[in-house]
Amino acid sequence: MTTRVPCELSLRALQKWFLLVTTDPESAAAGIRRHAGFLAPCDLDRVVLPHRTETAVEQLDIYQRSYFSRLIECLADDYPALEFALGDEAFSALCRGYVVAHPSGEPNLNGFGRYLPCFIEERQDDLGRFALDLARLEWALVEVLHARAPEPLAAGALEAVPQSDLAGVRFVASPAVRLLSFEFPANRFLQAFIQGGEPSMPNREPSATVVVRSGYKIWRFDLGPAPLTLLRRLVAGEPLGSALEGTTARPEQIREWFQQWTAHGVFERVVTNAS
Amino acid sequence: MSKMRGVVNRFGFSNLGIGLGLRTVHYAHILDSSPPVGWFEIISENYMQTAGKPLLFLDRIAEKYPIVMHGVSLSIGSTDPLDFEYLRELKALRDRVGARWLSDHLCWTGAAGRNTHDLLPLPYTEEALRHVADRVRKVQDFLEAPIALENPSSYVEFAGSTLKEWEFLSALAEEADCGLLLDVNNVYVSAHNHSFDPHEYLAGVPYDRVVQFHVAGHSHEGAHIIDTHIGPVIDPVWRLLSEAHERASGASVLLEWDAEIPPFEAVHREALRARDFIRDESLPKAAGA
Repeated sequence: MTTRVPCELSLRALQKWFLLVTTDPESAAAGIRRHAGFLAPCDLDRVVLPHRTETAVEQLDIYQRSYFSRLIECLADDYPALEFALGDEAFSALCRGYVVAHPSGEPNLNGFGRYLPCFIEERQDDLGRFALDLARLEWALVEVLHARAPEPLAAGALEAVPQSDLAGVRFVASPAVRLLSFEFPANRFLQAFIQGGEPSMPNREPSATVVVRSGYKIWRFDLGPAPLTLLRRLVAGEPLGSALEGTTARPEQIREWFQQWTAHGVFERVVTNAS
Repeated sequence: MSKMRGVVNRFGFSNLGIGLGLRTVHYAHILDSSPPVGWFEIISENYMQTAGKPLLFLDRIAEKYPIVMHGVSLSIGSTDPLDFEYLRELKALRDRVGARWLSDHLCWTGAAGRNTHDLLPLPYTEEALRHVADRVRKVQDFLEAPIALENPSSYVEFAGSTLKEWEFLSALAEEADCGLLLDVNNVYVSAHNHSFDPHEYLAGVPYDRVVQFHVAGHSHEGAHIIDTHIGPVIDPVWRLLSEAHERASGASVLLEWDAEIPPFEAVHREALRARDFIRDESLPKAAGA
């Protein structure tokens, strides 16, 4: 048996080649063929030693499979309801495409799935539109998990503001709050899924959901059009007086909305002209 | 009473006894029950690039238990430039939780700006040795503390390697003056995958630099073994720990369990099996209780 002389690749060149081969979307063998200009396939054994029971290609395939399965598993952790809605095969195909289009460059995987909603957006069929809603909702949950969640606005904070200053009050939203509008009832679907049900894809029906974290707890609640408009204006920094313009809601309704929002930590503080 | 025969590590890092890898599914149990565990090892990156819930839990756990940080993205063997933004955050996290020491792997995780989040193998050459040693020294200078590097599990061997893994590790530790985290499960896995003698490996380790041991379960996949950190530790791996611990009995021991993680008590019970395989009268009392 003759021992072949090892290829003299620099460490940089070796790493570049190894990365191209083990992140090939098809297989390590396909990667080796695709990058034959870098290293001739016949020279493979001069770079990776074949084992007594496995060829060099089979060994490289371990890394290739593990690359995709690890990242797809990460996306499945972030998007469990989407995985259920699409089914294993379609979800896996979607994620595989995503991994190729958006490889990670970060030290951790906390934000790896952030572009999945945009990646889905190109699909214009109903399932694609629903998947987009669901993905946006699930990603909002990841975002608020990692966002700073300051002590929420105290329940009686507004009462401390002089009546004459109320119209000019601005609300500062918690960094851990997201307001989302959907074409489908995404939150209702997610809730049914979390409760162990097997919901089917709902019909189109516009909905809006607030996702917010306060301490250890993450809340989701739906909003009708009127409170959604008001909350959007407030979160955008409009003064209370101008945000309330045009609303037809009764004062006691508005009070209830504020109670819900403050109880869930939607606002961090209020700013008055005086402050 | 038998004497401790192993050397104490040269860095003066304490023997924290038997610890566990901190996993999300166990947060509630740990905070509610304060189980008597010697220490917890965190995956550093899980608490980086976040200002949220993971840190809330970690802060509370760090109040009760010694913490050691174990990284997976230092990419010490990469030919990309060192990521000083990452190192700054790592250092800040260490200071926040009062971590006793930091470790990562003898590997690279990506290049050209891409992170595979895998522990990729290095060729064991003089070029790689110089490259890695230089980076370790820079990292230690930046962190103002020695780091410990763990021997990886690997599934390929490079034809260009001129050193055995343990020779490389030993030379690296000497040249960069760093610590070692000896994962005896990885020794077992790589010994199977590359047909070397694990006892020869253990005989070649500079034990005065070993600050910590890892044990874990793995998966047989036919021709090779994958380091999956699943299930209990098999006896041959415990016996490797026993053999290595004789030579470094001042080093702390940690069980990693990352797949199909059972309830906390089961993981803790498995970790405590280490007591059947090591002789160490200096084991400190556990924290938490």
